[in-house]
Amino acid sequence: MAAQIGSLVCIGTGMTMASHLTPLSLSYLQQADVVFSLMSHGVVEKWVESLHPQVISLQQYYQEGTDRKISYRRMIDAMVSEVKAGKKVVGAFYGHPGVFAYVPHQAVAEARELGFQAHMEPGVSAEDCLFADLGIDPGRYGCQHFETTQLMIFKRRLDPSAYLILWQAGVAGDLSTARFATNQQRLKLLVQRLQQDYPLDHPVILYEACTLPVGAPRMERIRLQDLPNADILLQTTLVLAPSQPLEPDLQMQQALAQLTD
Amino acid sequence: MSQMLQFISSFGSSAELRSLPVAELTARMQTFGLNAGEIEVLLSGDRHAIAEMMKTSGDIVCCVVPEKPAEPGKPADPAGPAQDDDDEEEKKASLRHAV
Repeated sequence: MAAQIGSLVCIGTGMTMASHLTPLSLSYLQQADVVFSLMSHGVVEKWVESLHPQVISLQQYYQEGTDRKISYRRMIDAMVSEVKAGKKVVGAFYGHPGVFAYVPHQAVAEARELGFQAHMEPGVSAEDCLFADLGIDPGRYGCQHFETTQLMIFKRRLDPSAYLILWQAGVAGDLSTARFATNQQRLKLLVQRLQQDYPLDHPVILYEACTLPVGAPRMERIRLQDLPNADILLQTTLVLAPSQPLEPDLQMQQALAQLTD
Repeated sequence: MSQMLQFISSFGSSAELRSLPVAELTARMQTFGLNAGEIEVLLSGDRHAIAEMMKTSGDIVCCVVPEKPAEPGKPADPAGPAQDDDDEEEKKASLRHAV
């Protein structure tokens, strides 16, 4: 199918305002007919508005008590309808548009399905900031990532000899997808789950990347058992260092040593 | 707020501004029209104080989150596109574990 007039590019503006936007993403943004934005802070939203004369905030679709899936659907429809109208549309999302972001993935897929050109440009994600700020190299011991609620409601296997990063702890245990906060009871259940693999006094880092360049990242260290009483926000990520050493696989080591080539 | 926005936009993309000693940075902030109180908060690096100062009427209250299973008795995805079979199975499984 020949591509129709109208296009969609979902860009990431990075985590820190004005610091992480790539030259290519900025160029797409400036060339767009219309820009939809979903930012992490009102000031960041204003900054995006300063880069283009027609920026529409997708925040208007979020409401406490409204299922986020409904909000997502409205956001996608808003963007795709402009693409259908023949416009060059940019969806600007904070962080990386493809990481913990349903709307950009779905909007790109639907625009393509309709025969329009659509793609995603990467941005600096919270994960990237976390590695830099905490001095963690995921290649050293390995690194496992889970969305916190998924870890709680599915039977996942954790490897305590690798780093563990839990995203969206701020909505831990929320099955309604309509809340914007977790609570002590849900966090206690999270501790109960983690206790299967980590001692209760194991350190947990509460991490929040800088959204404004003038601020500092949050890097607060607590014990696992103290998690239910901690100040866990929507943007808080939990980081657990390995609690056990790497266990050598002697059989594999031997097999590798016996290889001649 | 527009002066503040201009300053932090510049600060966000400038290695030079970020490397200035406090006295010089303060002088630069003044050229952006920031007042003494604003400068003091920015220089403090206090996350909460900065957040408080930067509050706008349109403050962001949420992040983009991936799909979660629906609550028992409610449709799995009332507004979303049709799910493939694997996804449906995953949701059913998640509910079994959740309840």
